[in-house]
Amino acid sequence: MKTRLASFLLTIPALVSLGLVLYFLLTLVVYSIPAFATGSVITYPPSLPSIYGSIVISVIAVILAAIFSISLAIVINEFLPPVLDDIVSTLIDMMAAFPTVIFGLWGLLVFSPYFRKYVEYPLYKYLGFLPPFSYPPVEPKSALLTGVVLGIMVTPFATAVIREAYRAVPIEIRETVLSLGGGKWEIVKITLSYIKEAIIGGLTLSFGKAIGETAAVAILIGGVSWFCPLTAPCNAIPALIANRIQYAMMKPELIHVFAALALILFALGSGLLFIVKKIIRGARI
Amino acid sequence: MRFKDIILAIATGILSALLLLIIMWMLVDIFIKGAEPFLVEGLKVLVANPVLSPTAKTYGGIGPMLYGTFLIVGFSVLMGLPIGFFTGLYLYEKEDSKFAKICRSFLDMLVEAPTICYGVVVYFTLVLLTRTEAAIFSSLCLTFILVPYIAIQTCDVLKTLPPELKETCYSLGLGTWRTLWVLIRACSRALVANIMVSIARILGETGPLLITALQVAYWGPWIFEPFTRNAPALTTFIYFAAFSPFSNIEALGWAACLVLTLITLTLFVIARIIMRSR
Repeated sequence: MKTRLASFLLTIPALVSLGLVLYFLLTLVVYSIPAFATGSVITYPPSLPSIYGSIVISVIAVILAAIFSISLAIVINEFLPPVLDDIVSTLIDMMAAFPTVIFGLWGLLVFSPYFRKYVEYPLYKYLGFLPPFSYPPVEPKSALLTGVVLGIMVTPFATAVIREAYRAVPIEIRETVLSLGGGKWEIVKITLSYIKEAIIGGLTLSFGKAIGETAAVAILIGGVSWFCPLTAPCNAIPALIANRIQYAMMKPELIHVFAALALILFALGSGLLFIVKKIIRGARI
Repeated sequence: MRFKDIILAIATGILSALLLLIIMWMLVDIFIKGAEPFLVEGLKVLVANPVLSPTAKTYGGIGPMLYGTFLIVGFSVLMGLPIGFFTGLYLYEKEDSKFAKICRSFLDMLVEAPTICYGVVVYFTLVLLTRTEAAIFSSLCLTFILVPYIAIQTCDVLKTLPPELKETCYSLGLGTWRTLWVLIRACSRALVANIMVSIARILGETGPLLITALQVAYWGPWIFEPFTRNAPALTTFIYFAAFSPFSNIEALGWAACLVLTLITLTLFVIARIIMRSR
């Protein structure tokens, strides 16, 4: 009897949580159906450029996160002495819990002038004939800057996953490579191919983080909706929503457009991660 | 070491050092620029109202924002922590039941959802209906973020315990509650550390707050009044400081960054210490 009561009482919070989840999902889906039905999510002028901008900055961020997190995982596990290894790991873990809006403020006020002078301007000068760099870097805000700051921001998430997977690789593999006369290069090569799935998982996680980030992106991207070159101000879905959602008070048809955009964002961020998690779990079994 | 190994060491070392340098650059900037208002005005910065005037000689302070953040986050922890924690217990206890599996996969899907989506949902269903932006709605958004996170963390931490412990408890004739109490005590450190990290996480949320609470710089006469109207918060203040043309507001924005960093750091370090000391 008592056990029955206990399990009944425990079911209540689970029901509340499920209620919250369903409230969230149903609201998004129900509100966005009219926008998909009438196509207003496509015809609302800023929406397609924002989707494009979101994907562009997140891809830049993920490329950077891949470079940084894989080299960090290698350095932490292969080259650093245990004391330093601990300090670096803690610092990186701490950055994962860091308020993202600070990246925005710092990126705009401190990082942007240096970035424009030493990265964007040379890119424009020497590679300006290529379409992605054809816009003169005259503005402090740009898609490339946003992507780079986002990359620094999401690296810790990828690093945590990749580092732990790297650490968990059986020692026998390392011993086998050493006994065959291989060095660090071979060990790293084989270990990385061994943890391929963890790398993909970690990078998908950081993609989701990057595409869903609001504050830093809204500060850095500039809010100009067009299919922009990399060095120009651009727009992204979260920034568009944060800047313009108040317009829905005056124009009720915008409610459906923004709900649809939020649903697309959710699908790109969480949905992708969810699918990748399922595939990886299946592959491991 | 052979040539290839040296190249590998240098290349990965330079890339890692670059990232660490950028992170250190940012932290140092926050501490130097954030300390400036504190050096001029002392600890008054933590309680005073900001001075919103282009000709002002003084900075004022970030008192209302600090208080707003504490109220918004505190209220959402009050709502989200019990729900999330007990959901986690349920997911662990009823692991094999169908309902728990459905629950778990839904929570899994939502745990890394873009936080602006929660803001959009709350905005359309509550803010638009009541025609008011209010701190209580921001608290609700943060609760949405907190519940899946704490539920999954709690469940996963409990799963790291040896299953024999649970079996022993039941075979000794303990009830469900007593058994769970024993299990919770066995991994209480990890549970507390996870809760602290998740609180640090929602402290830094900006997007949902931006659209559901808007931004004001002052606090009403009554202590809980902004719960029903626009409310200040540290993160939204930093957001607007980035766009502000006034240099004193920019300086206060850095001070807000410093305060937020220190709070997050403290939570994180305490969580680490709790986890390490055995």
